Amino acid sequence: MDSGDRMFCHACGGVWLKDGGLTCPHCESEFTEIIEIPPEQPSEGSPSHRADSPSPPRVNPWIDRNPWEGDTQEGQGPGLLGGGIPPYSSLRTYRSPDGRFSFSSATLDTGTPSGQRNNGPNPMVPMMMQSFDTILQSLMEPNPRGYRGFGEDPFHAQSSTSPDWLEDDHLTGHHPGLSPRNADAPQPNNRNPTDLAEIMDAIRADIGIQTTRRARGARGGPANPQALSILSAILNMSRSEDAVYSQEELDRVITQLVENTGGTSTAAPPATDAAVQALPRKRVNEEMMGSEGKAVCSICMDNVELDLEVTVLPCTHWFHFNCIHAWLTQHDTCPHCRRSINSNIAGGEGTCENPVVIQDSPEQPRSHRRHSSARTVRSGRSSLSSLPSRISPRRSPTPEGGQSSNRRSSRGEGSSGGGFTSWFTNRFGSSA
Amino acid sequence: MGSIKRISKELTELTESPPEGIMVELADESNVYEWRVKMDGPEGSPFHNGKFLVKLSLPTEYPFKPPTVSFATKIYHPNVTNDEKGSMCLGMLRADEWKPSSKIAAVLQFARQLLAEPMPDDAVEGRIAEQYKNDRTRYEEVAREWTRKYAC
Repeated sequence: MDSGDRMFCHACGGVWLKDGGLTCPHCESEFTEIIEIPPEQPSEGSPSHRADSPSPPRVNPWIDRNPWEGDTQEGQGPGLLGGGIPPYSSLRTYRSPDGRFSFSSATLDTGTPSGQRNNGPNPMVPMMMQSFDTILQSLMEPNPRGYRGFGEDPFHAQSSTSPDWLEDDHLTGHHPGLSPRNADAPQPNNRNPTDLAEIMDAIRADIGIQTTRRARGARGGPANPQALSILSAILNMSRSEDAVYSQEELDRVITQLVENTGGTSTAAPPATDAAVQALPRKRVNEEMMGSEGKAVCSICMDNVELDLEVTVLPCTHWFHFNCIHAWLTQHDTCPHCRRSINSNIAGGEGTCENPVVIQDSPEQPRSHRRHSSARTVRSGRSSLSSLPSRISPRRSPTPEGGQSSNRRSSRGEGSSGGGFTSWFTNRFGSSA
Repeated sequence: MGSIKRISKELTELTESPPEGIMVELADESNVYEWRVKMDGPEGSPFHNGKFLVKLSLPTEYPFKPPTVSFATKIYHPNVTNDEKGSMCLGMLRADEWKPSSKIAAVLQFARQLLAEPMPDDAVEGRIAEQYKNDRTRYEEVAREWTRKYAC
């Protein structure tokens, strides 16, 4: 179905068939973009507008198409966008006399006089989400017939050169439209989310809207990097990224603050399961039993018998494996003397188990430990509290010389401000 | 749960050989996580001759998480909140200071020691802490009065 796709060169403005390669044949530039022209689908649309697919990308083959036409047969959402328009909403399509642009508006009647109104975000959220879903589908499906969101106009996009619409009153229903492929305006060089569907699901889950999305297989087109700014605009989020608009977001910020400043922030971070498993074990001998011939595991306070296998920490304190495992997966220090289990030489006890430890904890495993410790935190607590620790592995991907003194201070440094960016980072981490 | 075993063990130890001035029992025989502690005011302190009811709550994660200590008996002390909770601020019970090898006996002894020697720099009642530092006589007067009023 990609046979009709075109390439557009941002350097020289040239257009050629995608089959001719991704590099501009005119100026050899690689600053090019695929412009997807989907094949005609006979099941929908009016025959008169059946596009002849090899048309130049700047000429819109659906110029006369009423974007609402196809709604009845593929009404994807209930109610509002389906065939029957609910009584409390009105839907209008405008077209300029010369047919060069058109736009649609949907108005929700909430009792106030119609016209430009500034609806609060809350009653609008379900509708906006539905609309946004449509937008995203348009982004992901290179089929312009998929346009069916209210206030969305596939034509306007071709003439839009300014992203200023993001600042517009997008809640009034007069959406200037959204271009999935605005070849005229350079797109911001944002990081492409790997999967928009995933993002949408997360957004919906965060907002608390349950909608069923139809499966769309594996043909997600290239994601539009603007999608995120669109989202934040739709959700009325401040671009300064330090405002929160939902209880969840607020909770998250508060939790993060508490985590960073409260008592737990100075507590030792958890150790990884692997690190705990790697600790040497040994059988209790008479020397360990002490002068009274009696010894207890100081975690469960149970007596230990001769020859029982116990786990020995680098500080030479020993415990039942199950006991020390339970503690170390919360804090990686000895329950007795608080020495980190990662401090290799740790006071230089020259006991026979030290060599094992030194082999097991050079620089390399340290960074590994940090990565996995984030995972442990995440599964152990709520996802709200995982923000700082989830970010830090990304911030410092390289081992930092294996100095254990750096460990604590690096823990909270990933705490960026609240807002959408941190939400996104929290949700998806690095997409790399 | 392993924690119940350890708690029972500590309870037995504490009932069999209680530390000075400390008597423990379960608030409810079926629940090992809630303890009632009767603490005698230490000698030489304004709380002497007072009997303080202290509640000790153990988390289900004990010993991996610290217990909490609160005074059910009203007490005039820089490190005990002057409200219906009577929470006592103990450094060793803070999440980042807690060690699973600490025993309840040690916690209670530490709490009792704190009655004799308040830590005004780590106070939860700033006004009482100020008074303790600047006007020890007055502090002891009020503390004694409260002890007589509430703890006898």
